[in-house]
Amino acid sequence: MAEQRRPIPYLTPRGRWSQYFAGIAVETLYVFALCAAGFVIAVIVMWTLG
Amino acid sequence: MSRRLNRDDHVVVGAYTGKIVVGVGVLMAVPFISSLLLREWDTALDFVIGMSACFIVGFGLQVAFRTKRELSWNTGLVVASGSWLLLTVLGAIPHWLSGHMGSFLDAMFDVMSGYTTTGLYLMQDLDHISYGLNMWRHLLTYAGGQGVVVVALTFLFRGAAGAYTVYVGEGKDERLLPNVVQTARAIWLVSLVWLGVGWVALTGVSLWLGQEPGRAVLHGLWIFMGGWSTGGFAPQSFNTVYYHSIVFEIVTIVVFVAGSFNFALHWAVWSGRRDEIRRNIETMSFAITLTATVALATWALGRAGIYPDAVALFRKAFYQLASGHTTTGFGTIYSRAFVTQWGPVGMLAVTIAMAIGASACSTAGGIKGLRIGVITKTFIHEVRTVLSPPSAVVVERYHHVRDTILEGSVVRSVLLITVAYMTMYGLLTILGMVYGYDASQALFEGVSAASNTGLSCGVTAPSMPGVMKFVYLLAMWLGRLEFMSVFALVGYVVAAVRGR
Repeated sequence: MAEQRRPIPYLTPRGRWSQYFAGIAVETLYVFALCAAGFVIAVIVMWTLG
Repeated sequence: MSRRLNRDDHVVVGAYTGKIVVGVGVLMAVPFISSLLLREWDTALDFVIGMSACFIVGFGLQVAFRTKRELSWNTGLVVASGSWLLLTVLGAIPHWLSGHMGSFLDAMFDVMSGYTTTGLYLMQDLDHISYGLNMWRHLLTYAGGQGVVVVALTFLFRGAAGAYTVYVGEGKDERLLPNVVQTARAIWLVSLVWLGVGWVALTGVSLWLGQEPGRAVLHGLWIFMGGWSTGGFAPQSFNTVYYHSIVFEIVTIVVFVAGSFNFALHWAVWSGRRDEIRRNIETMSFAITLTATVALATWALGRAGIYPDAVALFRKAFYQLASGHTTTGFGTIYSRAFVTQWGPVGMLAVTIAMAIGASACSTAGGIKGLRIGVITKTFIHEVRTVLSPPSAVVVERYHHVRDTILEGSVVRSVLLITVAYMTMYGLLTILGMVYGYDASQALFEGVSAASNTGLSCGVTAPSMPGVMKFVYLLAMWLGRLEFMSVFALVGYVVAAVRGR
């Protein structure tokens, strides 16, 4: 039980919030990369089909 | 169940189920308070009745089954699957009392669809339901995405050693942190931080689109909950077509793709290991299969000449495919357009995407990218083995948070679950065809239900045969819990009956 009472590491401060937002930014960039790939496919398909 | 059940097993199952039921009763306080604030007195009363039912059943079970024993592996799985069924019945009370449901089965269908983050619904006159009920619908899917049991683990169990089995039984088998309760809290931390960012972004876009402030805030919250949980519920019957905005679509894509990531991946990226998003077998698998299905759909739609240019084609094709692949169910086309405009090949592309689904240990459903990745690695391993000298030892690795050697036990488990999903997809297709739907529609809708996606081609409706409603409800449950805990529940019931 003593272990349960210790502060949970990820809830302690020390600049973690900036890491969380950086993580969200990285995840968003991944989604934009997927979108870009989808758009390139659409252009190629439309160009191929005339 | 490998051993004879005794009374202690029933007591443990009853006690823990009671705790989870109480947790959902507490959750109902949110729509109850919303109803009070918005002066929806009838709706508030519906939630008082719903909460009362949860507290009577939940505390009643805890009083009747007092124990200090921890869950065993078997009883944990039984609690995970059994509590979902009980919560569906109790959660359906506000739906049923609202007068927007054709029957209690329809109400249960919508609630199971919410918990399992599916998004199919039978609610009638959706555009005119109360704010409180809309809050409940979206909260159901948000909490369900994190796992209803994770909610209880986070707030009620406080480190119970046996809680890990319940957590696994809910289809989340990765520990982000050494303690399962810390893991549950980490999942909630990720979800809540994303909630803050996504809610603000969607509210801002809604305001920019001209919605009045109060409505923009609520729509921003609900669309975030529907997107992040990959549930696909929306406050309007036209779903995200309602907003007619490419900016809104881009923000929702970011939200639901992020929601479909493995929580272990989130945690790795948020802990500074940003390279993980590029190296992880799940994100690689997702990127490849999404690109392939987008290519197939764009080819079919390009040939059909439905959309005038590449931008329009990309906007429609990518959104439906990303929504289907992440098992979200948001749509920017009308349901019947899949049949009347997209045609069999376009529908097949979406069906494949839905069947595969997104990441394990996420809010998403389907076979999962991790399993597709492992199966692909197994093929590569077999080819390399055939091409190598007989004495060579061929080792295949994959990266998922850490480098892992591909082992026979993992492959067996992956193939077993994959076969179970494929079998369920097949049986649901046959059921749809038996009731008169053509094969492509029956396949599309069946896969959508079983993979917890929620895109519809028009089959799911209040007029749908009752048997199909019931079977889809079971399919959503089976698909979300990934079979094993449901099989454990069946074994528990059979053993209990035999033991008498």
